[in-house]
Amino acid sequence: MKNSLLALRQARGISQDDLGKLLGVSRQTIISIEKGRYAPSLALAFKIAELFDTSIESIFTPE
Amino acid sequence: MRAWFTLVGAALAALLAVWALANVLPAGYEVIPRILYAIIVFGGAVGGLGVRKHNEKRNRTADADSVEHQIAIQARAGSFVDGLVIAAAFGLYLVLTAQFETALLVYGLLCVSIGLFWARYAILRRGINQAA
Repeated sequence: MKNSLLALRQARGISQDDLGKLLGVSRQTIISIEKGRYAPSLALAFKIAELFDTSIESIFTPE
Repeated sequence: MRAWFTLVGAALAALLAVWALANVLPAGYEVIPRILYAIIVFGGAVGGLGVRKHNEKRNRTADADSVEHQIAIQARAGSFVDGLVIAAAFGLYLVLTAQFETALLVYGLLCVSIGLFWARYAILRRGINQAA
């Protein structure tokens, strides 16, 4: 699954660790999502979308 | 990692202190070092668990949405299957070496393990269907 989390995070100037803290997950989780190696749960996807004030489908797109 | 070094260092220091104490204690007091060794081993296990929990909380690796948590679930499932294969192979070895009673015990435990899996599966499945 492709995602624009890296671009969104960098646009806000948030570090991976800080984003992890905001979402309540580990830094490794953020790294794995950004690299497309880990598909987040629906609950986490909602949290990410809410944090960046956008919709899930605008962040995550199926390959 | 620093917490682990502290724990291991403290445990080694305690073991060394008890070993030194055991060498200077007069005859008849052999039970004291044994009790102290047991306390250190038990304390080390509890301390290890505490350090692990502390690290999980600090790094948020135990959170259900974290990748580490998902990997741990996969590893647990894989280890269970590995355990079944090892137990089955060990049981076969026992049969081939004519240790039938022990083989029966091993295969019995194997059946209990598989039964526990299906019991958990059925409970979880029922829980999901009831919640829906």
